[in-house]
Amino acid sequence: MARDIVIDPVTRIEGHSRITISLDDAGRVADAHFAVTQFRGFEKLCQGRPFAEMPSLMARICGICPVSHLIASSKACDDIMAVRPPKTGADLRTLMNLAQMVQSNALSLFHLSSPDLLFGFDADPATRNIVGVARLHPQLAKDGIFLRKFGQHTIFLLGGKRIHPSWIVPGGVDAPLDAAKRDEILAMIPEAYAAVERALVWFKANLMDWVEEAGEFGSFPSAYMSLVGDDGTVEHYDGRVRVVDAERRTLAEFDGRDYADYIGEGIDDRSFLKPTYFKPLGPVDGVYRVGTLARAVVADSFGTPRADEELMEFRERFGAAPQSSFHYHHTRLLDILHSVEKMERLLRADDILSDRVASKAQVNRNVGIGVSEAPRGTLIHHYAVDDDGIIQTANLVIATGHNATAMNRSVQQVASKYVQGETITEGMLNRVEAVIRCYDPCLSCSTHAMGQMPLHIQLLSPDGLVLDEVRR
Amino acid sequence: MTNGRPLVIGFGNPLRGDDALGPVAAELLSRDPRLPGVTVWSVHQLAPEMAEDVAAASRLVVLDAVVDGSAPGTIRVDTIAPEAGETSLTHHVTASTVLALARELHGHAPPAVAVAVAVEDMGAGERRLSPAVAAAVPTVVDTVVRLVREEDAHA
Repeated sequence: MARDIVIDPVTRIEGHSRITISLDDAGRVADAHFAVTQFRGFEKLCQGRPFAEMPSLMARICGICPVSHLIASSKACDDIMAVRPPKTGADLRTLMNLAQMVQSNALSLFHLSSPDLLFGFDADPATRNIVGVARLHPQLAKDGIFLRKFGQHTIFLLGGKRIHPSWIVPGGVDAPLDAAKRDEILAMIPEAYAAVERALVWFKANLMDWVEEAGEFGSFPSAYMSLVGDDGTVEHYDGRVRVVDAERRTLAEFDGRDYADYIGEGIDDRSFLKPTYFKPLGPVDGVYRVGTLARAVVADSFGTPRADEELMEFRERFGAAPQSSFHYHHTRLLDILHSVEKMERLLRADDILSDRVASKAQVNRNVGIGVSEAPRGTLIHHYAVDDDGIIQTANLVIATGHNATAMNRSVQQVASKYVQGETITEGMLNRVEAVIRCYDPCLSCSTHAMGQMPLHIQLLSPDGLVLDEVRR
Repeated sequence: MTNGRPLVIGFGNPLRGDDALGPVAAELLSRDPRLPGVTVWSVHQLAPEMAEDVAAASRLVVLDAVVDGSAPGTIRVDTIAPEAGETSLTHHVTASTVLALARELHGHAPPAVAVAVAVEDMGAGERRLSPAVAAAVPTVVDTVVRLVREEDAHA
């Protein structure tokens, strides 16, 4: 008889989720589905608030990537005011965003995924954890902790708080950087280079151990999307949105304000996660991926020497557009390395201590759209305000939503390989969860909608027949 | 840095009702004249990067809200041992894990206790403690002061 295997909750990702694997009569995987089971409601609760409150409000969506929401939200507010921050204001925002890239990518790779990579997916959970990593490979654990601390401390120095700093505001930032803080951040840079470069040596030396996983972890052709700068290099703060196909041919390149022409948003009856698709290809063929792997595929280069050397090696090994989501792990290290390089470049610029850090204005447009790169991928905040600047509607398109369809395909692919019969093994469980963790999903961020919540209740008989159901 | 002195960490989400117990008590303790030179942190959650400071502390006291079926406001003091714990981590870690990391990476896990306060309301968006939990705050503060001073007396 057909049956479902339910993995609930999925562990070591941010938020709450459920995976359902449906077996057919022969015990083979017929379907697999990743669902987000928590609900937040930020798009609704911000209605009626003054637009200038939005960055602080939206930062509360997430304790891991609040800086991303601060930046996308502030850019949307800049758009409402029809201003651009002074160069130093934009550079300081970029600096904080890069610090967050370092700490968040370090959290994902070193703390959440390295136990699997170091011990193997079939290892005893009692040792396959961050303490086990510290015991077996203390330098790797120390490097991960240092990179987290470096990013968090930089955010603290800039914004006065490690989590939910309110320093990024509409028009720029609310205080300039002083020389003492700049020098304190610069003093940490050499160790940050050393830590990420040691981790890259370790990761590349162990690549062969993970050949099997790399071939099966979400390995399928898809498009990729990320921001790029005017020169085609990786861009985390500004730039244009570029979408490339599985052969790395450009499908579209557009201003983020035009996102609705290119990105469709769907409703999944079984999940609070809002999946998206590339509109020109439609909901079925328009699957694309965002995040560190996408940035490494989409951009022509990083535009910084150390990261570009690593990118060249990465592309020589895996091609310009590798299909496996397993490579998110490797590209997280490239993203960290590039972020450290760019932070150093910004900090050494003559104008980084300028006190012209914010532009001031009132409401000049009734719509504002802000786009930036979060650690997990492209983030879009879209607000409509009345003439007094009161929020009428808000739409947030989040990295985890962009990746939702790819995650489903990845789960099905892994489940088809590892689920056999009706026995759930620890190795299978962890592989299914691990393929989700490749995307480092942030479910807190992805379930912010309210008012369009699909609710589907089914009453089933013991043999699976639907006795009653309600949709609302 | 903690530099051989006690470290007190109150953690919780200030926007989730009674979950703010840790940060509220930590704020009071940071200004308490009975604890000169004691490092007090108020944080949303514990994280691996705290291991270095924990390793340098003479004693760790963590303050947290718990839902354990006890009457709201009930205070419990438990010893914490260094343990790897479950693999079900998200972005935060347990105090046991931070202690285990302190021991593995920095060679020292100090004696540690958790002051746990039973709570009743952790609804989103509420900044207020429920009456029973608010009433327990002075006792929580006194309990932490006693634990820290006991340590000093033994040092």
